[in-house]
Amino acid sequence: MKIKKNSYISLLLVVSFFFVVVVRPLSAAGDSHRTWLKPISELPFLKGLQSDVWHQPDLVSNTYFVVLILIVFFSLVTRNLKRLPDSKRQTLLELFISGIINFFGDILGDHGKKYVWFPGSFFIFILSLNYLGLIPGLQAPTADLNTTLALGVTSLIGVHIIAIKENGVGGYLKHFIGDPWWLGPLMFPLHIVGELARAGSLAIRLFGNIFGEETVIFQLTVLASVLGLTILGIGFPFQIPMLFFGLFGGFLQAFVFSLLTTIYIVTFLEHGDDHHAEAHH
Amino acid sequence: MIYLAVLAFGVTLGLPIAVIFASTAQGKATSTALEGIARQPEATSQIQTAMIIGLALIESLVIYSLLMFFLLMGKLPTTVSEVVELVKAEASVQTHDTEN
Repeated sequence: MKIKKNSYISLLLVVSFFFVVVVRPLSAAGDSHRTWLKPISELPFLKGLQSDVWHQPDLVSNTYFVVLILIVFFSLVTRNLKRLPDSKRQTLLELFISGIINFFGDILGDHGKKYVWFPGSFFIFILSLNYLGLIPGLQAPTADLNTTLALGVTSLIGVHIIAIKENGVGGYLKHFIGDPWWLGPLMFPLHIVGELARAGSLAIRLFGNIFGEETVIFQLTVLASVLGLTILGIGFPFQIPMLFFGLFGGFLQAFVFSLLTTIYIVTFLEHGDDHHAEAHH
Repeated sequence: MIYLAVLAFGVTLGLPIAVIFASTAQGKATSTALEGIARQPEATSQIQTAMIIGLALIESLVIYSLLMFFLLMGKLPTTVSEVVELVKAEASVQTHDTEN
């Protein structure tokens, strides 16, 4: 679809003034940052879940909004799949999905390839959660410590369940005791604390990055509208470069989360796949 | 008074000190990764992946420091009346001590 160059510029101007003119009044009303999903959060059974600790009272509605969008999007996109794809939609989808499978499967090795969709679905989910913050009027649910703690704990529990499935309970406990068995009582609590620290660090890393980005975007929007409206008489969108950085940072954090989950799974897979993919090149 | 001064120092100096050391470490990691890529260009994707993991782990320590900054920033007084109250409370505690 060919669009003329002038209409790109006018579209950019319209979108940016919309950010400044609409988003700031929505968020500057009081201290809590509401989103367009506020009517859903005000329903009686969801009203008790609103908490303003990280300025996200509409957290639950935003999260389930993302879940709904993902379900609808992927069920629409996977209609009428053919064995030999001849539609652009199916080719792109296969590219995306096979990229994820190849990347995480290479790290997991041959024995772990059946677990590739555990970190893979983390990647898709966290990517969509992070990108929701870039849409005006909505907030990223991962900018709240509750969401990221839940994701970190889920990752931890999943990795340990996979470890028990692969090694059995005996082998799983032997992994905690470590190599010289007489250092066991020392290594056992250290390993347990290490596992908890892994889950906590996953959570705090994701939370810190996304909350920091969103705070910077918000403060730049406030600065832009205050400076612009008082000096120039019209708002100017200073926050647009930070939105591009938000695209990059959201992708990177989702990628690092799922990559670290994969690596934690690999440390529990004792089969020691020495024939890695590199050797076959 | 001393509490407020030390709190202000803690809030402002914690994160930059973490950033100094973290950026040095990330620079070293990136330069070693680039040397590896220059030596063996066919191993680029694996070296790149390992470099990204390393950078993210180092950066997460800075993010912990940023989290502490946010937590401490909530404890700073925001209006003049709060500062005056704190100073008055400390003055009353000191006079109470000197009376005894």
